[in-house]
Amino acid sequence: MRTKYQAREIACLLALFLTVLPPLAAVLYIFVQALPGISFEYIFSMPARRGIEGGILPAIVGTLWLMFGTTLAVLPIGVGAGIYLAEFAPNNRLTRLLEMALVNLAGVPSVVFGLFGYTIFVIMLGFGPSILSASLTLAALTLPLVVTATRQALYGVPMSFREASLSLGATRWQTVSTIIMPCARTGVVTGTLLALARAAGETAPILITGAAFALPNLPRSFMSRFMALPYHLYISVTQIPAMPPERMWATAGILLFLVLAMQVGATIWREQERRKKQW
Amino acid sequence: MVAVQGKDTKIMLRDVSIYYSALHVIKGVSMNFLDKEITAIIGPSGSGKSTLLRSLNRMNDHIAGMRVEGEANILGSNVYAPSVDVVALRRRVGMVFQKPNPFPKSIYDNVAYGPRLQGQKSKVELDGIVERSLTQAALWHEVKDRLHASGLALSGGQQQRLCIARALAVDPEVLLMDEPASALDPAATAKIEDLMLKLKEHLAVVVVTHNMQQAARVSDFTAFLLGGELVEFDITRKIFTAPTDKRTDDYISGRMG
Repeated sequence: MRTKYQAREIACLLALFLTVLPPLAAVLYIFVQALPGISFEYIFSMPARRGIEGGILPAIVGTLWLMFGTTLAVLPIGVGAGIYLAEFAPNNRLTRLLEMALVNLAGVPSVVFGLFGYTIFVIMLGFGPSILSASLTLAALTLPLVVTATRQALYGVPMSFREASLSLGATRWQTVSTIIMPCARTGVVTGTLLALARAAGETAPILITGAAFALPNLPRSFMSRFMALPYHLYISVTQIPAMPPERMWATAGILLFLVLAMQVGATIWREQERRKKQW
Repeated sequence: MVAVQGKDTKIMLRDVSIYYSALHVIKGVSMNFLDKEITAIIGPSGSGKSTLLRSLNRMNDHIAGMRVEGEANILGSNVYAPSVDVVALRRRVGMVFQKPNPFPKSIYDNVAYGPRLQGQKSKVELDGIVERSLTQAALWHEVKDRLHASGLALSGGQQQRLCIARALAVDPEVLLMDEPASALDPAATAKIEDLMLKLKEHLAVVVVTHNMQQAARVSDFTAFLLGGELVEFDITRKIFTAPTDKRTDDYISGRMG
């Protein structure tokens, strides 16, 4: 009997290795391959000769602009919706319908969000292909993640804090703003960071909402077209046969570094805050 | 049953029934709570003690399907009338919970929370309120040198006294206590009981307890609740020495509950 159970345990362990090792190996491989292509010039100069020479500064800056724009759009709306669902929504059919919509929204393919963004922001609202259109599209994509993270963080705050606050004559809004949100802050921020890390790597939503493969200068405003790392990589790989491989690896390496830095940073910060937490 | 009456009636319940959807939890309770007296509500688990207590400052409002019938006249107005300002009511009817629940804030900020909600910003005023409330809650001397330490760093008994100080800081006229010592050890319980006797000099105290000795020790009046019905309500000494109802006698002598 004992060996039989041990065999199952080992099988599960093996499954875990199969899950973790290949992506880990891929990440390492990409970093190793990327190193030769990464230089001061590559990071800090403009592309030349359709990206075959020069650097990718506009793509790095463009991705940072996108993250900034997405944050501005997704944070107030996502946190607001999360607060409403967790703290104010009546327990009725409409609320459950909205929650269900939210869950399903998170499963919508990102290319569909791209089409949505193109139709609504680029065409209907007339924002054209721009950082604004792409940021709003990425915000729509990450909205369900931020709403869910906010709700989870709020649910994690003990009911007894709400009761104590209400019993002291606080309104529900005062309770949320003075007690509940400060307690849930870590969860909201890390959830948003993880959602942004996801958005940073998305190609499909920005494909038709304003990304350009190579631009000679940095974006000037939210209305500018822009370069972005994932889109630059995608076009380099599929459309530019003359692109030297080490340059593609370098783009991938920089994108991966950015995304991992956000994820690891969010995780470390959350763990630190969790250790400080007293309840 | 002796109708407890006095000119300083703070709370007057007339035929109050509470329902949770189809469940009839409180069945036609009529009783008065007097100022500067401690009224204990005793009864076995599930008898509706907490439901009755929490209806007095409308802390049951969020429960779906909750319905109240009858008249609950608290500090001069029917609290279930549509025009009642629940927030204002709760400032006048404070509450202490079963499990100490200080906010993850400093001792000072815990106590100052209520006054700040009401717009009190003056540091001098707040300092005064914090010192007075902590003194009333018999905690001042233990914490005066670390007012800015977290409220959660205190012991269980100290946390509960902090919660009492926090409730007192908004100057309520009635203090509702929901088994305030059930999570505490005997020494901490004794401190809370001493405190209750001091508090009743200023306000009306209503305490729910499943500890009959506690009810007998501290309260002036005792209400015995069974299955949502008010079986007997009288002067505490009478309830514990010469109850009129057999069910009360059974409960206090340990043959039930």
